[in-house]
Amino acid sequence: MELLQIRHISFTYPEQQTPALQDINLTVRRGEFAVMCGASGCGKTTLLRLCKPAIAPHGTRTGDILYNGLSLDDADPQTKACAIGYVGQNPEQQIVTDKVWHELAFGLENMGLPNDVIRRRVSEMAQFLGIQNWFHKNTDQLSGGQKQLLNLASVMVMQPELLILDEPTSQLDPIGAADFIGTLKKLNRDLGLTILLVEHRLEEVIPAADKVILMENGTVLCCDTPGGLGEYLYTNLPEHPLIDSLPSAMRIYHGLKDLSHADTVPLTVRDGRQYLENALGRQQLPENAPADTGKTPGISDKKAPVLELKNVWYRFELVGGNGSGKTTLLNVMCGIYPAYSGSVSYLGKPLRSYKGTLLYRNNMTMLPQDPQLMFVEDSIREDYEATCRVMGRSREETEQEILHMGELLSIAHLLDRHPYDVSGGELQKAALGKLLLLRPRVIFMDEPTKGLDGHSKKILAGQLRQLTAQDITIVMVTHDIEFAAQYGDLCGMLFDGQIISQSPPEDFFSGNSFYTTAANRIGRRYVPRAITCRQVVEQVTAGMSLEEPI
Amino acid sequence: MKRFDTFHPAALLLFYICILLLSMLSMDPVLLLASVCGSISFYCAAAYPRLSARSGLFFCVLFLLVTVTNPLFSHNGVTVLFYLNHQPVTKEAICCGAALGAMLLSVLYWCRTLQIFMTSDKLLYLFGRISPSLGLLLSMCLRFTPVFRRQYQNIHQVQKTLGYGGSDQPLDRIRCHVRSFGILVTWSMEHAIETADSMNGRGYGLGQRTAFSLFCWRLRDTLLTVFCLAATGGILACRAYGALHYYYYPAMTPHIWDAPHVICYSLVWLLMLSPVILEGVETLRWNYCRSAI
Amino acid sequence: MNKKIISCCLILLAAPLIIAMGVWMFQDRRYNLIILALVLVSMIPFFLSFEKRQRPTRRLMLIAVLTALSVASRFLFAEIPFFKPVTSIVIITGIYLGPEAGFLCGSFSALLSNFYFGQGPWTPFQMFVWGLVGFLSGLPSLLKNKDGRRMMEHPAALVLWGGFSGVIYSLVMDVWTTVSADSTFSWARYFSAITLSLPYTIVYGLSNIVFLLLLAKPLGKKLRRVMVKYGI
Repeated sequence: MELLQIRHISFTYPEQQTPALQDINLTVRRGEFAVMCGASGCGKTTLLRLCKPAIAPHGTRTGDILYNGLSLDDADPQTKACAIGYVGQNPEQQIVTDKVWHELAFGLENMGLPNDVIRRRVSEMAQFLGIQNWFHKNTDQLSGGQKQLLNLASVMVMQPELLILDEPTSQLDPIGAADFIGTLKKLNRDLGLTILLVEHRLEEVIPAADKVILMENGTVLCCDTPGGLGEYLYTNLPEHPLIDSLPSAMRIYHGLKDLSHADTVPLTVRDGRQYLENALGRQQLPENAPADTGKTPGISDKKAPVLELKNVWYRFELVGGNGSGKTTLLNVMCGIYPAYSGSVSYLGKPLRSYKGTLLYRNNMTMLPQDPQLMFVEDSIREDYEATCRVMGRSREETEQEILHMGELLSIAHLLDRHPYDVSGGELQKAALGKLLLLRPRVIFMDEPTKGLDGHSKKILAGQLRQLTAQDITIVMVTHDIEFAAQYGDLCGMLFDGQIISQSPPEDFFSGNSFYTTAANRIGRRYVPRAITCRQVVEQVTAGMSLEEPI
Repeated sequence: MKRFDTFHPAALLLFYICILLLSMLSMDPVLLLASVCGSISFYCAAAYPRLSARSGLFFCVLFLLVTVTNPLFSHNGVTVLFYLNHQPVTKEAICCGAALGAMLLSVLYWCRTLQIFMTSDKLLYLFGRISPSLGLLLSMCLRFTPVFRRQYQNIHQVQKTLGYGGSDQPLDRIRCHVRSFGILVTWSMEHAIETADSMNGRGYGLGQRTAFSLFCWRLRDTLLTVFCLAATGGILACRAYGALHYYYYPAMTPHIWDAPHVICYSLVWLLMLSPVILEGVETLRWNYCRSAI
Repeated sequence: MNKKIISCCLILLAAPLIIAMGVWMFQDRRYNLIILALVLVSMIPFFLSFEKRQRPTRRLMLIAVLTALSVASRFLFAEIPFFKPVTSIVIITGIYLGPEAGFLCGSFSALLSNFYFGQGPWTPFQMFVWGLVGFLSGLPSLLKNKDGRRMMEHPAALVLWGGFSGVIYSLVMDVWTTVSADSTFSWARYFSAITLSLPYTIVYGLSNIVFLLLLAKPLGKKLRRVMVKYGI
């Protein structure tokens, strides 16, 4: 039965010429797990918000949205508030009150329910989602993953039939994200809850999805099963940026499809391994097949590793549990926190010997997790100008540098916008520009890929590569294994306050068996040194082509 | 876990209103002594592992200060002890000063325990009873304050890595603080809209709100309420019959030990010492129970 | 409806009731109790009027954010003694969001920050005086055509009002000092308290002026931006 029907919806924001959504038709059935994906700015969020009238954007809308066969405009507000639940992107900002239990009760208080009803529903949900251990805590003491789980729970107490989520895991670390998605699966499976989810991290989500909706430029490009979507993308749009975000198993399968066909498209690591086993059987690929030279061209052509700490020597000994976090390590490396013991040296001299702001002008700088914190002024251009003033540039130099930065990072059209009015990826670029105005030799980055979609990540990687070509060293801490594997020159794992192993990504990830990319986990039995999907496909193909003539 | 922590906020509020009212009601030295003893011992019991000698010293100094300064302003009284700058310093004025100091001391110590027991969620409950919207507003402020403090630290750090505020000049540092604060203001206001959406998404503003709380009214809350009201009523009744009317000027009222006075004083001591007795009994029982396990 | 009438009557009765109680206790001159009770009761109408009107969520949100900012600012500027932007933020809230918001922001700032800095009998006084300052700053903006707001935005007005609010703060808090040290209210004590606290009054006034001049323009700009962007 159809729960949500979107019929010929078009939507235009005020004072905009082009519509944000054009003639959208969609159906979500009861009990379905639907995933919506697409590049940022394609209208996903607009569409989601139109389905939740209380937070629908202002603008002109045509078409109709039917909920349970009735138009949403006619439904009474109480039902709309309860029956359709909405969880947004930012875990921190959705929490309204200071106590976990109060937050859970917030929606029910709004419905004017009596105390004992609220008490029962709240305890029920806390029990079901495993919140009872931190039920009495302040919301401020929770981790990001717990905060998002709380947001989910405080929507679930209102007993919705349809749950709409807008990139709920984009701000979480992988463990929190996996927990969250696991909870969604549980809700879908155990309660039959209908879920409509917008997500960038398709690796974990797609295997659970019944239906994947691909949007582009305000239209629905494709609405199919996960396997069907892959089929569609690879046949019709092989250059589509979304392909890079598909699950590794699917990408490997499509790379090797011509060699070996399977009836169902593999979606998970397990299915992927099985597929490879079916395709390759017991045979071992020859050891010295071109496996070793099968690196991606970007890395292999450059003999000298760019990310080597060339002029920079760090000696950090973080002893004991004190400061074992990665952000702390970054802060120690760039001199914000003094090292607990040991010393940090930059260009052969200890950091302490750089007085005042000397260290942060022309030397090193850091890109924070949240680039919004870097901007003071009302437009990006004004901010750039202020930075140039600090660096003591003349008026002409300033103008020229800003122009140059606009071209280099392709943000010229954004310069006059307010930093809070641009998208996450764009702001990241603008922040990078601001850092580059300080002419750093080392840039530290704290989780730069957080919240970016696959396409923006690719652009970011390209720009970082440009920088490293200019002899700028980039040190990045990240949870994004795939990103590190694909673009890093040197990887290390931080655990318990120590850097465990430090080597080029191929060595690093092929040496790990759990903490490694999904592609490596799928292919490791046959091609242990391949860490990206592309490498797996290339090496397997190369190995097979050697085998087959015999 | 302190016993007093488990009382219902309304019962607690009533208790503190009675106590503070009585402490400020009269200058009778017996009453004030009871209040001082009660408040200080209760504070010691409530804050037991974390008592600070420094604050204790501060309150002693405050007490002495009030005692000593009163004769400088008030020259009433019949028993002149000596002359300072041709102004008489009287025994009555010093005693009155001591009484004022004791009153201040007791009120301050009651407030310190009030702060320990009347936690933000209890206060929130009380506000929510008066007006659910006010309770919500208070709760939102309580939620944002720590978030903003943390975010400010982050901002300040980021600004440092951008080369601001690292120098040792105070003016430069102040400018960096103001700068960081500006960023915090923008950040908080822009993101507040997401919170507002989240509130709307959960049906805020659709109708009359209720205020949910985890607090339950139990038997002991009733007992505390009845006890407080009875004791306070008794004391006020005794006052109507002539107790607790104490004067320092021109001469200090002599103490009379008639029925209203005796009843009044015993009620006052009972009420003022009740919290510390309750805590003590409870601790003993707890220790006994634990050793029995 | 019934409830409303009862509550209105209670408020109307409360003030005379307190004074009557005061007269009854006059022989004892229990000014401390009377003044404390008066201050508390005087705030109730403000709080009750808040409940009556439904207001847009985003507006409520902004009030909460500004209040939390002013509470947090008491910590953030801990490095610089006495110079705190609390009053300036309360004033700015009053100017841009009206008297009611100004009052709430002021009184809640006092109440909440005292959770961290220590509650006491002074809390109601602080709530009252900061609330009053916020309320008064918002009154001119009720004038037609936003002339009042424009008037308040003028630096001269900010300097005057900032300095004046520092004085009001001191005067009211000195009432509490006098009453607490000497439960009878004596003018001699009051004047000596005022003279003793004169240096602080000057510092308060100065810090209000400095922060108003520093913050009013950027904060106002940001507030206006958010209010336009989100249609408040």
